[in-house]
Amino acid sequence: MSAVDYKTGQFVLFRNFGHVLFDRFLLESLKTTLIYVSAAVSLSILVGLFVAEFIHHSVKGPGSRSIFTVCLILPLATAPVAAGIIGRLMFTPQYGVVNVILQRLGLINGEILWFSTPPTALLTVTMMDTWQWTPFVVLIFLAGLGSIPTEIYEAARLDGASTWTIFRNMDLAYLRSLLMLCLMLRLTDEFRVFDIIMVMTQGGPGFSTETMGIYLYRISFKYFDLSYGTTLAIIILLIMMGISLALIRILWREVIEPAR
Amino acid sequence: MRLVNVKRTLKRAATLAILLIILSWILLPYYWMVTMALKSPRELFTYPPALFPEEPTLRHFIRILTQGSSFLINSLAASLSTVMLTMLLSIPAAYGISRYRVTPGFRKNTLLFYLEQRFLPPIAVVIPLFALVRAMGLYDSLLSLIFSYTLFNIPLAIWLLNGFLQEVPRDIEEASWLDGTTRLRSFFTILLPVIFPQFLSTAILLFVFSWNEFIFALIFTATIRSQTLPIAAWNLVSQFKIDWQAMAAVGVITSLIPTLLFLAARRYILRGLTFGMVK
Repeated sequence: MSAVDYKTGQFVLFRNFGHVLFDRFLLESLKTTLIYVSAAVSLSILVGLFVAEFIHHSVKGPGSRSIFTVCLILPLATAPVAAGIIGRLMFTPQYGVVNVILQRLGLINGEILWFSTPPTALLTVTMMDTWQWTPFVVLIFLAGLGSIPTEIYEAARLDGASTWTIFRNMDLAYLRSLLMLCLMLRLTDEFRVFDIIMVMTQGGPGFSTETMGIYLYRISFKYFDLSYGTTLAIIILLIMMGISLALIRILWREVIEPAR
Repeated sequence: MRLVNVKRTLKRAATLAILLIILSWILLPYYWMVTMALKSPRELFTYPPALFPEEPTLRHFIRILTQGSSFLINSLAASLSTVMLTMLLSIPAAYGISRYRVTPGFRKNTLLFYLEQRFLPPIAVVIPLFALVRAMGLYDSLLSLIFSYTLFNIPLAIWLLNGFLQEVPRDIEEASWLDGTTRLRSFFTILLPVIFPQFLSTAILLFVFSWNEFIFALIFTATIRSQTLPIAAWNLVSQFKIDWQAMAAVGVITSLIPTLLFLAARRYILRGLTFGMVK
């Protein structure tokens, strides 16, 4: 926070804060961030939950289990920049594989220009991010599900419980605190998304995939308006601090303290 | 009886199919990146794009590794120095939090203070750091990266190391303190050998996080003097005429080392990614 008055006086600073109120781009980037965050977080948690449940209940052997664990670690080790590159390579019309697959499956006829229209560009970025971070969710849930004693399952099966009942009353109940942990980590991670969008769309087409971080970068390091950039940074910081302060207290009470 | 068998077979087939879909969903993007890097330039221009490279070539890798070796060296240097500096600063801190008699409130607040940083978006502090880097004359030098990475890695390191240290009972050192051994000595002779694998995994995690870092590297570096591999990738991506195969090759090279390291340390990955909250 000490750099608030970097290069400028306090007077300019107030003008910057006034500017924020009428900043159309900021509002747009906030909206994009919200859409992106909610889509990416809910997608990764839902898909992650499904995959974890599936692996937990149908892959029993330790050998095949570790194959899955190894595969799941791969996307996590990949740099977000590299994930962005993979996204470009896969979705680019002429060289990409996604259009080919969709054509072979008979889902589309022509080519989808993934990076050229606002909705598909945002969708593409979201899908790549989901690819990278769903394994994280899966691994957390698998760790949680692994701690459920198998006798309980056997007892439930003997009582004639259906798959759905087992999922709702046992697995979900066990995963409750981990679900919350996941939600928090994913939420805060997605709010600061930067690398993958920079590499895949650089905020475009137009400014349609420009999240708050990208907007801050554009203002500060493309237009070199560092004082307005700092103002934006403070806004981002305030939002994040609001979220994280609340989350950390809950996290401590629900996850860290009980684990000791 | 036969009906039951048919039903079971169908169910198994469906399970297998879903598992295969999950696996290919995870692996296909990698496959595509590697394929793109291996294709010959002639093959690149065939349409629809070939799913298997007919005449694989390593020339793109060789091109990147010879022309872009400075990126690789910078990445290695920045990450290794970050790991060493971070460990050097974090081990005493974690030791202090976990081994000295402090009030539970103090311990909790110290740890929470570090945890705060897990939620701090780097982009929000990059401008003040940028000003600092410029003022210190570190712009476009590896030191700027090493310092900022260390700054952002220390909290994680302290949390992980503290968690690992808490799991080792104090008794094993206390016996040696009674014999008159200093704390420092008993740390090196008794504690360190026990906990070395965990420390190594912490170092691996820190290495990977520094290796993959993008924002600071993007803003604090300008030339090949200090640019790291993610920036090499960025340079290729942001060009007007994109060299797809060089891009793919850089992607493969950038992912390779972190992947191998993560696989080596896979027992502790979840801990590292969740600040030690999931074991």
